[in-house]
Amino acid sequence: MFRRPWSGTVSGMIEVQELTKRYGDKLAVDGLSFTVTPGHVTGFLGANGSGKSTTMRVVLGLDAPTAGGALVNGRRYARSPQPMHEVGALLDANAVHGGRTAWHHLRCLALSNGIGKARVTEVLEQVGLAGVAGKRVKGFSLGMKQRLGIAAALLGDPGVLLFDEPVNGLDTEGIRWIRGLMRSLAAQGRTVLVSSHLMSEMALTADRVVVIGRGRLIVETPMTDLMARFRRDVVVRSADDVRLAAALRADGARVAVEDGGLAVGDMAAVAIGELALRQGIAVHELTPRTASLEDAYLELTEDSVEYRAVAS
Amino acid sequence: MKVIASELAKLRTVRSSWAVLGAIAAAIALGTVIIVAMTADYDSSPAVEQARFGNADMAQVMLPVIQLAVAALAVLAVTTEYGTGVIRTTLVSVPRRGVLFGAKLAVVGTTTLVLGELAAALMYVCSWLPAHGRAANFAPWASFADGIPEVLANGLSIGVVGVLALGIGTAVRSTAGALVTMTMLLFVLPIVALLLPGAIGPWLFAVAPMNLGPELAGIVGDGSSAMSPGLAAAAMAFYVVASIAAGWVVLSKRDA
Repeated sequence: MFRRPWSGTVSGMIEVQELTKRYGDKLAVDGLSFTVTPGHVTGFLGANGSGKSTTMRVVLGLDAPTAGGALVNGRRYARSPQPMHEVGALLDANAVHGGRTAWHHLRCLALSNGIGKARVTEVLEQVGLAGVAGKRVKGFSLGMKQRLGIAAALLGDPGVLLFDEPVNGLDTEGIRWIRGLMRSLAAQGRTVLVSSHLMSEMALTADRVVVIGRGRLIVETPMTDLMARFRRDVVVRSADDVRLAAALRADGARVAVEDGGLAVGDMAAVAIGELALRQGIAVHELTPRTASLEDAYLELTEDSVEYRAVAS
Repeated sequence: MKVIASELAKLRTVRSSWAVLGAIAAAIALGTVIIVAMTADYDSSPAVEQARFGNADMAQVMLPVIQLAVAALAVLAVTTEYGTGVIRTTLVSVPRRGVLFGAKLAVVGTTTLVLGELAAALMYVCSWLPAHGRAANFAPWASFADGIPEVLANGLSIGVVGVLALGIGTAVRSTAGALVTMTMLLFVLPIVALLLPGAIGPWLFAVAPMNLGPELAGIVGDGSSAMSPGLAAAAMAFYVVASIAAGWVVLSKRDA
């Protein structure tokens, strides 16, 4: 798939350090720090307007930070001697000159970093646009432009990749494709940072998440920890709910009665089952219930949503 | 060099660049028709009338038109990147802004200068061929070589306008804003200058980009407001330096 597995001598890290960015009197990013490491897909989550794109623009040297900063491979990206071989980015799929063909768009970018024609053809094939390489970008759907933007990001075979909302405009097949692509890029040891405002999307793609709200870090954690943190309770149905509830409470569990069963907290399903066995109560159902990640995300960002519809 | 190759490819792979070439060719073709018609009119007029003819140098009419066409090419080379958002992709692939600006200046400056010299030469040839051999008021060239200094100076002034337009485009970042500014400089300023009272009017007229070529070649004989070749060269240098400075300040300081 790639000319070579990425094997840089550099660390492949993105380090955001105490980053603050102010536009006029609006604070877009406020003392944000986090680190993105190689070998994972890191989801960058936050509501619209929470500062994700601003952070990415600072990382890429497009916007100057008001305070703090960001390092890629240990230095500011603006000083990169081999930019496209170091970092690939998809910021805005619509940022293309409609009059150029897909091939020429990539060729112009490739030339700036001394990348040959063969590689242009290769990435066009990789993203499934080889058939429309000679067509003007004007006629492309948003999904095709997303693919073209991803092709541009991959041109230099970089070790660090940033994608800003890459699934926007993609159809189901396209979304599945990009999930697989991001996972395989991470599996090759690359650093992949993907922003999204949809937790459900990240649940399927990311190994780690950085959640921000109003320009501040809310949580930076492995996905499994985030899920564990919001695991709630176990639904139990048994032959004798009343006796079982009493036994569970006696053992320190939190028990609430639901229609046709019990909702048990603070005790693992295994322990509940064993306790029921000791009590000689037949268990009909034993289902651990995880709060949906979407709920978890809403709970996390509740206090930091910038724009909210006001109920009238 | 890589970035220069990229910028050259960008210029070549959009239609607008070729449309500008077409516009220049059309302007020169139209100018040629005018000169041929003028010459026919001159030849069929009595001697008294012939003495009242102005000269048949196409550049006097078409130079500002070609300057505007070249300005459009130069402006679009940078403002379309801002208009489409491609500038961010560009700056991610070439994060050193000085390298990027230098490459754009080199490509646009060289292209517009070459284009300018070619257009100036073509304008001269298409004026000289039909008109030469007549009286000096109509065909002000004793020999073909007499017109060459003006060709070189006019071509240079077109290149200067190209760099000026790129600098302004980089500074204002908008196609409409930059094109309006260039139209003001190329067409509106000289007209307004002629209407202004006092010494400022003629001075403004003299520094208008459309007059710098002939002034540099030292061929504006009767105009009392005309600048010396030295001053015309200084004015050209000022346009180049000031527009590069303005473009660089914005490109290096502002967020993309």
